[in-house]
Amino acid sequence: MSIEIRKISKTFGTFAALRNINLVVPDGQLTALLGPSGSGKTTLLRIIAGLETPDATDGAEIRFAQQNVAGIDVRDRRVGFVFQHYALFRQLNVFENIAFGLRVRPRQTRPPEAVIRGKVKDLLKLVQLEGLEGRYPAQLSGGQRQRVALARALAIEPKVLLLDEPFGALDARVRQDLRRWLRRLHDEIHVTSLFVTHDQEEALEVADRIVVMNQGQIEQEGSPDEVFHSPASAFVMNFLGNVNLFHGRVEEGKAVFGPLVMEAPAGPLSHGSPARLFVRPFDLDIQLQAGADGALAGRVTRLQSAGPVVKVDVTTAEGQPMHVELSHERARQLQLAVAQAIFVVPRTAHVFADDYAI
Amino acid sequence: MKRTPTDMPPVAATHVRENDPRWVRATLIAITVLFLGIFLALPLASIFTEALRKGIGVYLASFRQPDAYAAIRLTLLVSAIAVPLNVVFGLAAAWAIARFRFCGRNVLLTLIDLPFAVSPVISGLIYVLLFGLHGWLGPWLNEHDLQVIFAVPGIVLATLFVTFPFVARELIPLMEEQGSEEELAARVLGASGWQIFWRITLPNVRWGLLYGVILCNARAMGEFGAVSVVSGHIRGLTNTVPLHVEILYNEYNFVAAFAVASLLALLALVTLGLKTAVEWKVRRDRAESAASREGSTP
Repeated sequence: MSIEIRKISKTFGTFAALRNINLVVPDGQLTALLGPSGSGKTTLLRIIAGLETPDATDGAEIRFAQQNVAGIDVRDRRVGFVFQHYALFRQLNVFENIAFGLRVRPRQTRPPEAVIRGKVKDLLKLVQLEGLEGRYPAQLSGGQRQRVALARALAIEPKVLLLDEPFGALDARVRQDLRRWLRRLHDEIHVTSLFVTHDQEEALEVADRIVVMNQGQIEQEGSPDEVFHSPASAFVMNFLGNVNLFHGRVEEGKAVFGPLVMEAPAGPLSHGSPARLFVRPFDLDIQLQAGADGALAGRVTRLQSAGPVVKVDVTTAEGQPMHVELSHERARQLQLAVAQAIFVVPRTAHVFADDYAI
Repeated sequence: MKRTPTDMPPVAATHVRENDPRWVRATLIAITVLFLGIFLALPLASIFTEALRKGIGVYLASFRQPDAYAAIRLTLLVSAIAVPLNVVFGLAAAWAIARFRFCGRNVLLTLIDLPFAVSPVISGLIYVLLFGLHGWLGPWLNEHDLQVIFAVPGIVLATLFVTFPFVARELIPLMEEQGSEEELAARVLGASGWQIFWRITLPNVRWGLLYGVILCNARAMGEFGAVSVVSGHIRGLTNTVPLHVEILYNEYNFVAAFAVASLLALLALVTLGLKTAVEWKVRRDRAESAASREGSTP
């Protein structure tokens, strides 16, 4: 079931948490709402669930598969919601936690006890918690609690599944395992899912689509490849991984950064207006001689080769520090040493007009 | 005392005290025991000795007097009304205060504490001023033949007032600590307000609630000042157990006075026992809720 959001804003006092959000979450996909804290991603998720009410603006709509749910109470919206700290019922055991959504149904629609038992058993199997149905939340590990919360949300056969920072409260090791598991689980059950995260790695690894949010607005939405390789704004570029930043200006339709000359960004840019160049560390190459194209002269200040790539810290002739990542193979060819004079050449770079302050 | 850093134990504070000179420890312990003995154990023991001075037969006979019997019945009746009402009020107030931020929240918190701050005699007088024959509502009540002061309704009202804070005071910190996420989760899963209350809210606070009820009940049965002002001391009609004890004592009927007093003393002992048991449960629940939160944050 797809989710469509139109013209949704939310203001807390004088603080605009969301400004005119328009978004379509496609049916059956796993979508990540990615952004720094305060970007409004959790507020958006809670509005979709019905836990918050959006501002009453004209044309504001939330649709689950064409049906406007804006006026429907959270009780009747049939969403699965996994809270950041799981909010498991501490007085109920795992079995009763999962069965809760079925047991509280009105008598006419409540399934018989045998059906409830069968369903909970199936869910326990799905989240790999068989044999733990008698435990209480306090007796479970963080990862187990998260899976109980997920099973509990799935028990009501939700139209959409919403997860608030699902891995935020777990330690790094468990997080890795669980996000792969969640991806596999989603491939199995295919319920439209939306999860909030501030961890770009998590979003890139797990999601089919990523919605990048900043200051209550959507900066970009697209597949992980799109947002990573073709960032729409300096913010997205900067948020989705490490970058090297150069300041320059537009001259005669080209963006000029010292010896580097790039295509100017699209849009009406006057001659002399400031521009920024973003290059990811692995999009930089090091050469021992200046080539035909523009290259930045610099000196190696630090080498770190323990790890999947060789990290080289360089200080340019202008005194700007840069981070370069080379493959081990390339590093062996170059035979780099600290204090060696080298040239840095960007392979891929992104140029943005200087309208965004980091 | 000089010590090198190496023989400083990790939990220095407790060890230092153990290393205090023997006589210091002995003196401190002796003072404590003496104090407890003189001010707590001795009076308690004296109540029972005085009550049993003329043998168990006379002791039991004191309860068979119609007036004593009526006083016990009245006390039970008053607490049977006051305690449930204050449970309902306490739950409602604690829920409102712990779950919502509203204007007047601090005023409500202060009002809940008011009965602790006001002398019980004043509490009683408030009701006399309100409902007494020359009070604000007195003439109207008189016209309609309703009697509040010097009757059971007045005693119930005064008791309600002084036992107001116990349940709410116990529940507010507990509910604030537990937060409302579980209730939200239940709502998302489709539970109605009553289902959330009976299945989530109430079970989560049950030990705290029981603790509040025990304290509330002990105070309701033992209250003297406020009840004394509104009761009128009519034997067999408006005398509660504490008032009855006073009357018997003033009549030099010591054995009967102490016999009835021993009931209150027993109630105190039972309350203390229950309180300790429930306190232990509450502490464990809190530790658990703290642990479950800690376990879920890195």
